[in-house]
Amino acid sequence: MPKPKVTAGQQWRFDAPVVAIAFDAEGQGAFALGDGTLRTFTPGDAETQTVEAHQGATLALTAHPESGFLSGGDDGRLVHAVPGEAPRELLKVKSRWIENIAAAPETGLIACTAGKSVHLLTGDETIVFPHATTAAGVAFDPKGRRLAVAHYNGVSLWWTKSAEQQPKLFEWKGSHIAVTWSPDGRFLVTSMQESALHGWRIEDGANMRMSGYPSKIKSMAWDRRGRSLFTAGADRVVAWPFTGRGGPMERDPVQIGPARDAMIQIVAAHPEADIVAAGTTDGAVWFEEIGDPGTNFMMLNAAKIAALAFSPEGTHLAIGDEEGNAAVVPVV
Amino acid sequence: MSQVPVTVLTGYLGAGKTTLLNRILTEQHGKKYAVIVNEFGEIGIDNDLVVDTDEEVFEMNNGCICCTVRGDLIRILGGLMKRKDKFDAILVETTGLADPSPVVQTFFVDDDVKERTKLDSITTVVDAKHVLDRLKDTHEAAEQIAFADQIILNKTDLVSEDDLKRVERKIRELNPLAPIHRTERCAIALDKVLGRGAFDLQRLLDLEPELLNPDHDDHEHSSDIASVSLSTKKPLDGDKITKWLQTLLAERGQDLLRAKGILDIKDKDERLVFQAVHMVMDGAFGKQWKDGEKRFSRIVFIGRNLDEAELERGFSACVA
Repeated sequence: MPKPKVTAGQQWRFDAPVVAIAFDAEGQGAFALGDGTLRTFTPGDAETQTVEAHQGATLALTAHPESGFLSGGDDGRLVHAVPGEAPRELLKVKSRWIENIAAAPETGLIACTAGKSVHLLTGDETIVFPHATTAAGVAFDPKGRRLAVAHYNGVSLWWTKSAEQQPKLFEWKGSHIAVTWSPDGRFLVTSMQESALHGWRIEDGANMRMSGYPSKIKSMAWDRRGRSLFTAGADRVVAWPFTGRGGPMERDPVQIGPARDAMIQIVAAHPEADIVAAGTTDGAVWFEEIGDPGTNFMMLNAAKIAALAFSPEGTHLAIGDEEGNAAVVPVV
Repeated sequence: MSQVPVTVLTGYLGAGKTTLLNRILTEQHGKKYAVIVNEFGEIGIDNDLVVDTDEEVFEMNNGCICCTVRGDLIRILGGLMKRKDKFDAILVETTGLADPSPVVQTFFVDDDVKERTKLDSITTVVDAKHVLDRLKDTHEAAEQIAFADQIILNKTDLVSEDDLKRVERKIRELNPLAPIHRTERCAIALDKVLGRGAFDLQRLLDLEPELLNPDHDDHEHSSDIASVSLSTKKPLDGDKITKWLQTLLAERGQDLLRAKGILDIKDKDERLVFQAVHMVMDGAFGKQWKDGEKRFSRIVFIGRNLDEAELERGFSACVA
């Protein structure tokens, strides 16, 4: 296969690894870097603005429910960064890292992990939900009223109303390192240390095991209608069906994209079309329309792709790798 | 991508781990270190990064092997690798009561950890004054010594030379391979502690256990940990020895703490070198035997309830 380099769009070479990418509600983008900064941009522009958000490395980034970005760092700070404004500290924890952030545009709630605790920021107060082991992933349900926390031996579900409650526990032995909620709110899926996914049907807690991956699944993305879950961890994108009452139970996944001698690290789903994008361990990025055999293929560099994100309207794809190479390319 | 060396520092409560860390970090070394500790003590030097963690040990079922790993380490090492500043080395301090197995196995079973870091050594700090008592009333103290690639025998100023010799004999029963560095207040040169390459197979050139198969009837024995050394001058059958080791590790891996071996394989010009931690084995062909060099095979096992006669039989059956 020919290896076209990224030609269209903008490219940058930052002097720190790209850790995460997000777009805010207004269509501004941001790269989170291992030097503690965010580099914000407008798709199509070659300029980036630097936000000094953290002292060590930025570890997590997501869009703020209203505008701008939320970032977490190994300085224990949760920061709200709006391009052109001074970053605002929302939370600071002692000697723990903020490694995961979730935001719910529906309710305006923000949650982040810090060691074994999850901090829920309601705007009026901060509620702390404790766990027996490290909170390794956090996700809101689609209505923004319930919080799923991945940890060792399962997932805890918390209502976002009060601190005084016992979480509902979905148990499955092993270390759960990330969690995502299906867009229809019916399923929870976790990524596990043992290179497999685990799922639960919320209504009855039915278990579903999705295994067969050669490596850890570091990225999951729902397609725009919530009918499939795109996953990394194999040499092609593995898409699990989530239609019908049973979702992926007793069904096989579909594999998408070119089979290459590299693993998929990161996946992203287009917000308005049936397009999936993937970034690989050898620095390749491709996106392809489901059912269309044509693949848009490009090489960013030779380093592992660390993050991918489509702009809110799907006009651009932002890419970053572990060596600080970054690009924003038009999606055509 | 270069791998950052990681030194694991174990030792019973009060042995002097924190003193050693402070010495390492305050020395004028011009290097940048990250230190992963369980409690912020009086550690923390300008140029270095101290990360506080809770030891989270969990079972990981990885295909055919089941072992325990440190989940918190996987996460923290991953986070450290995202930083702009790269580290010259990482030190992991374990709690005094910790079994060293999970931390060591973490470096063998997690792909991301393996790719970005490499285990440099297990360094165990031993309190010369109290270690004999600790060996009587705990099993962790013996495991920490048995696991070590090197031992810092600290507080030597608090005991007599005779007592030191007794302590060293006791250490040798548990671990005949690890060099012992005598120190007072953990005063030891940095290069003696870091950059040992204890898990680097290409550096495994010779195995000379200091105490060969000691008499197991010693009344001072407080633990069932001991070592067995096997050797032969006859070349081994490559398939047989590999299969024997694999079976042994699979069946007895829980009891085998450490194993190291240099093997002379029939019709091979290079040494086959291996080392194992419980059920996880790592092997490679190493340096060539020189012309006229006396070839040999030697394996040292350190573990619990080792049956020397049975091991000897199994090993002998692998002679080509």
